[in-house]
Amino acid sequence: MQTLNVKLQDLAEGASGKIRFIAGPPWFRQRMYELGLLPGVQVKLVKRAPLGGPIVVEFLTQRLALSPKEANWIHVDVV
Amino acid sequence: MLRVALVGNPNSGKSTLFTALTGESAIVGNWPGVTVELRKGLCTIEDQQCEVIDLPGCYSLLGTNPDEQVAAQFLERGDYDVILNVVDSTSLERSLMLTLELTDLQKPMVVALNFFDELQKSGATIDTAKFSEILGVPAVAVSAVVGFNLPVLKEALLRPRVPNVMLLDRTVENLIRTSQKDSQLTRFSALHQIVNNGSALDDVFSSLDGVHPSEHIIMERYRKAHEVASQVMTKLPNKWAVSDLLDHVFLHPRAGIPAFLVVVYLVFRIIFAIGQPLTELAAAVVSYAATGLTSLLPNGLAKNFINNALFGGVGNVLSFLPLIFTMFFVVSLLENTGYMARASLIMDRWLSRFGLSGKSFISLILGFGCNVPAVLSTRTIDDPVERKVAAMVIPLIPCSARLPVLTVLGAALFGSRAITVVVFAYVIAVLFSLVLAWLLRHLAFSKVPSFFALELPPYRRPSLRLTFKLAWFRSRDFLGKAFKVVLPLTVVFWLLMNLPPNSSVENSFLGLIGRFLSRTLLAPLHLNWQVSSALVFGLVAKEAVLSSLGQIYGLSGTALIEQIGRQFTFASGLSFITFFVLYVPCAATVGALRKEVGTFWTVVQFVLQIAVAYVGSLLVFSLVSLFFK
Repeated sequence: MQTLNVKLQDLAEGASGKIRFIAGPPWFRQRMYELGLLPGVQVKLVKRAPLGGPIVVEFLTQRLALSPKEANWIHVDVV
Repeated sequence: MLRVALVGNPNSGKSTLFTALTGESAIVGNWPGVTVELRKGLCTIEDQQCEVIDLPGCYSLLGTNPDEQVAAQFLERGDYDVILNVVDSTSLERSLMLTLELTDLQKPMVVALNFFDELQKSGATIDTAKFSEILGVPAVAVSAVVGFNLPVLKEALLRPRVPNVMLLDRTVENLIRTSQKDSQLTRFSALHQIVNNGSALDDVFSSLDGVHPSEHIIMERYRKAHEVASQVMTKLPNKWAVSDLLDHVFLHPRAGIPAFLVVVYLVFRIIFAIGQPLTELAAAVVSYAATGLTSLLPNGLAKNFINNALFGGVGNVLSFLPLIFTMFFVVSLLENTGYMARASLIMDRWLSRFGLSGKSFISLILGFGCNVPAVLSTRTIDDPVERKVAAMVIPLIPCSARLPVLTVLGAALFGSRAITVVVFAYVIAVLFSLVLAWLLRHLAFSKVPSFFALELPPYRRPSLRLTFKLAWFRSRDFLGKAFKVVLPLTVVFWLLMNLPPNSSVENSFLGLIGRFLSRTLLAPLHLNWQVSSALVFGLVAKEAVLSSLGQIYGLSGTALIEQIGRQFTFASGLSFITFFVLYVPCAATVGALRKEVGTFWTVVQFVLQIAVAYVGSLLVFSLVSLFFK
């Protein structure tokens, strides 16, 4: 499997990745940065919600739910 | 009087701390330079009176979210003596981002490290002495829910200190100095200007490291937060052990959705099992008081006014208090335990089909209780388009004031099948609100992607006492707002009904309006003038439709129900119920809506909602008469 520049949405449950960059509209990027989701930070995909709903990621002891669309904007390198 | 500004992230336990500090004294008030109302409350520290101002929860002061702008405006104006920054100590790094922004204000400050008991339970700790040494401000470990260390925190508020300047990297510092030289700005305002307006150096900056200055500043601040956090906290907390167990059920691929449905069912069950009988009791008390009081008065206009306008309008609002309170209590409980965030997560996929996200779910659920606080609660939605769409859709959600009218109409028109009709009305209303959301999102607003990104707090045991206080505060605020709108309007409508003097209802101004409507606008719906006039009353409050029908027919109780039953056929009855449940928001909701989305969109919403009701009831009428001849 590809390990560099993977979309967060495509990570397996339980897998971790390091943020490579965040695409999407500026306000989305800004909000992600404010929450501490910045390039270089390690995230873990904790759970996928039922029926292709949002995913739950963990970074720096906090958890965040992201919709599939948003998770596609976030690019990571699998670690 | 010492004025304390309470600032913190959403989910930092800020509201709980506010309630724990100020108790019963909280009220809502206006502030110079700030467009929205803020909560404030009093507390006494060593014989000194303090006023605590609860600023909206925010992640950053530089953001574009209206809540964050309110907090930033307030803090920049400086109408306060101390900043009390609430920090979630189990998410220290993230919380420090805001704390570092606050240090740029260079105002006296105290930091409260909340959820400290939880942090220690999870096996980590924060060196508070070192923390306060690095930032240069007093830091107190507290737990608002259990009341741990609150006296120490109060004492610290009397001895705040101006924080150290937390220097960022050289590029940012140079940029700050350049802006300050140009226009004598404070450090905070300079940073604000660089982020929001950009600067002449934008291009230079981008060519240096390829990122926009505002992003560069956030990254720099994050680096600093990380640096501070790793100095005061040696081991990261493991706070998800219990939550993982619960989430295994609530977010389970198969069990998650049934669990969600059970919770929603229980919520409505509790609200109606406790709220409904209490509401009936309150209504009985009000009408008992009305008869008791007015029996002392001679017959005439004065008695009529007191009975119908004062007790009719005010009494109606009062009798709803138990229902509203129960609803607020249950919703606050769900919020404080952390389940509400999971419910939003589960609902996101379904709501996203209609152009909303899981975040609107909370506001929509609130709408079933009362549309007014529901509209106001849309403020916490980040995505500007979704915020508007959600606020404009909420008035279609049947609030609890529509329920008694629906129950009576159901009983009048369909006898024992009343419950089925009520359920039918709810389904229709929810369906049309989702359709309206879809239309607004896809036609009125260009296709902007919806935004979800929701912080998931760990499950927590809520404090019943504090939840009770919060629910009581919210209900009191609702009551005040309702009276301000309902009281004058009831008087106006009483006048419409009783003028010109000595006329019957049929010849009063109201009767004229009703007759005009039933002949023109409402003619295709086959509504007579009595019903049309009663519908006009729905502008004041939805429950007033029923009492005004009683007044117009001069009947009450079973006689009224039978009389209404005679007015409709099966098809016209269903179509009337559809029209009633959808047609216009009440005046209080219009007021709230104008505050959130502006006059233009309020007018659009009003017209759209009437159109939806009109089309909906015509559709029901023709469909029903087609199939049930």
